[in-house]
Amino acid sequence: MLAALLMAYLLGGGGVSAGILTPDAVKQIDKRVEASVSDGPRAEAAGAALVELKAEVKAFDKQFARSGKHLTNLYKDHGSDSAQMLGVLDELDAGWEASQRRALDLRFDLREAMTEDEWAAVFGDG
Amino acid sequence: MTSRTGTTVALTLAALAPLILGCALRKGPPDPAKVQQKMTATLNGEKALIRSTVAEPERAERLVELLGERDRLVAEHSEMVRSYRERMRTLNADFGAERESFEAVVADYNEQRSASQRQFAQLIDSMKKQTTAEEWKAVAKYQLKKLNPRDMAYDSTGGGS
Repeated sequence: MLAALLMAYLLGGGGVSAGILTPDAVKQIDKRVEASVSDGPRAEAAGAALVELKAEVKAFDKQFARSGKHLTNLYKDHGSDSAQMLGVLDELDAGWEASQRRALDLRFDLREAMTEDEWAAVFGDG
Repeated sequence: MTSRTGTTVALTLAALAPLILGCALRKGPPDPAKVQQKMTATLNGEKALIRSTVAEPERAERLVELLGERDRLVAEHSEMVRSYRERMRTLNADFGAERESFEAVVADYNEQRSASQRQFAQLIDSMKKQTTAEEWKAVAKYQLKKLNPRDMAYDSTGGGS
């Protein structure tokens, strides 16, 4: 049950077409972008967006780990209640939503650095 | 919990496990039959533990009933996540997709997730109310150890996509 509460944040899988980003997914995107974008300035811009994306995803991962520990302790504690759990989840949700907004910004930064064909090569058949 | 429900939960967890992991635990093709067998045994073990741990049969049976509710929520949650992932995958592949389209999907998902979280949290309250502190300690220990999809995963070599 606790895992179900948390799983929504960890669904990236490794595929580059994954709907939700994880550090592993970003690494794979990075490799594919490197292989697909050869033009110097655009490759540099794409790389810069991905560096930021990696940092964003890692930061959320840390917050997720902290929240997971906190929720596990609350789950085990017979004296704790749903309000306490929801407090932790609300905080995690706020972090998630901020992280998603930033990831969207960076998704569009990355798109600006790529052609449609390059984009299809990276994300089309993930 | 009926055996059918147990199977549903087992399959749900089997489906979720590779999504959660993100990286391979081990190589090679999964054996769904073995995974399902293990999960069914784990869920049956959970019920057996409750019946042997919770002192009063009425409370024990009420708690077992709540497991059924949990399993229904897990299945719903699984579908919600799968749908979100698919919608985001489709949008992301579209070079011309507008930001507003992403934001609409994210907002919809956030709303669904929030409602799901509240249902889960209230259910946890209900489960705790059927137990003493000592009983809950044993039940929660089993759940956290055995019902974690990470431990029930069989393969994620493809990244779960």
